[in-house]
Amino acid sequence: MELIIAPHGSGSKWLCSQPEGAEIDVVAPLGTAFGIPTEPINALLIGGGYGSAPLFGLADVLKNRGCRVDMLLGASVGAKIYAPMEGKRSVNSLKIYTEDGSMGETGRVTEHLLDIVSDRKIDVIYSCGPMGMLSAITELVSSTDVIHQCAVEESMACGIGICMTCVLPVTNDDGSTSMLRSCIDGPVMDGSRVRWDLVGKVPEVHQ
Amino acid sequence: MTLPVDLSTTLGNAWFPTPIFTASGCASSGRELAQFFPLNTVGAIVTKSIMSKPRHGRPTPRMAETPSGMLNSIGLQGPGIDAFLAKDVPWLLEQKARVIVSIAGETVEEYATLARKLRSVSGVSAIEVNISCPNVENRGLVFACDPDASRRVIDGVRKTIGGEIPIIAKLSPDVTDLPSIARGVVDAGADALALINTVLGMVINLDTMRPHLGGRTGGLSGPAIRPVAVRAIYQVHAALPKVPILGMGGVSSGRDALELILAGASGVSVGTASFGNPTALIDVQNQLRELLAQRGFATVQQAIGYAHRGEGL
Repeated sequence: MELIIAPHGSGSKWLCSQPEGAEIDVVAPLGTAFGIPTEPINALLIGGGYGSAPLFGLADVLKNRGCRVDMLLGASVGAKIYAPMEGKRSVNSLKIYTEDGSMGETGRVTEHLLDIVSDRKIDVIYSCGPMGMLSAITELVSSTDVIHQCAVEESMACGIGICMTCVLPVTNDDGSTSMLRSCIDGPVMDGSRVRWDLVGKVPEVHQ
Repeated sequence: MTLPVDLSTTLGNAWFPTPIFTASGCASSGRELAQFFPLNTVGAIVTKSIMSKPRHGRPTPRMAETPSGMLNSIGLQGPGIDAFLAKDVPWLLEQKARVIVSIAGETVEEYATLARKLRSVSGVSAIEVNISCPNVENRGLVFACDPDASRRVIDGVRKTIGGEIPIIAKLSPDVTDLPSIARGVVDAGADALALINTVLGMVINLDTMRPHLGGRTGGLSGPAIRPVAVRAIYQVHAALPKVPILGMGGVSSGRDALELILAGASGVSVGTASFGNPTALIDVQNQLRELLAQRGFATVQQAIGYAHRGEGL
């Protein structure tokens, strides 16, 4: 098993300090996975910062299913993109954006997104990265038929659905909103179902 | 080799095969932990405090890491009592789990309404009346900080529920005179006490330079509060030695559970420890059995309040 960890807090720093081959007690897999199409489709994978990490394995799976796989990676600076060269192996095309222009094109992954979607006849976008990026992608593709599967990021205490800290407002079939746990009802969610405008707020009370 | 230890315990007239329970709010309604151990192998599942109506809870962020603990600010998110009684309780009973239903209300009347709905459900071992959730909009709604309001809530539940099912009043440590609050709710009809709820706290984010939690304040849990729990249990057991206590607060090992039992707890809830270790209840239970045997206790009962011996109790 390969774990990719950003050393932010004390736990993740401890994990990063472990030597290769260290034995660690792990509960896995948890939550939802990216949905894999049964037929070959045109997929666009979008990663922000270390959000690129889960996309390389996904790219391999999609390629093996005969999908066309394009990838966009972005970050504020080039150093914050996880393994930019890794992407090249497994995709048909790779485009990198940085806000300061230190790697690839200057700008954000959302810059020419709609052009790419129509030029490449994209069916599904798979994304992982900061919530602002996921929200922006959802908004851009809302006028299209593209399905947007995004891996959300919320701080979690348990990861198994018992603590209720990682909730996100998600639209139900009847139009009401539920606070769903991103650990077990996510992390992969349908972007069009997430009420991005309500993240960090409380939805109107339902009876 | 260790001798067999009788782990069984009671809270009021409810019997449990072991003294290790989940803590309300740290096990949702049980289904998630059932992936890790059969729910009937622990003393009881104490469900997340349920209110009359479905509730979204507080905005995120709802959690902050702190030294030896964490703050949470969930705000009693839940499906409401009707959905809970229709779906969650029957499922728990099917698992042969012993169930303690935790209820929370915004008014004395809401608690009584919840008790009325629970009265018609058979198979529930006890009711935990959570009068001390810190994550409510108005601190004035923390009934357990007000002796008179505490008594009125328990009195209303007692009158509604009748005399059979034990009532466990869950109290806050954030008060000046905990034994007097405890005495008040016992006089009003509580059969047992749950000690302690989380301790009110706050973390300020140095990037935003504002309170980190969406709800601003949160409840502190984890090993950081264990000495507060031990003190609260010890104090209340000394004042009311005949009233059983369900102890909780930072228990993550058998050693911690034994500490609470020695202070006077008849049962021990494991809460925050399950977040990092989903089998924490089983680990705590096994370690507790071992520690009791090593100290020559044949039963849990003998160890309850043992730290008070020779103090004239």
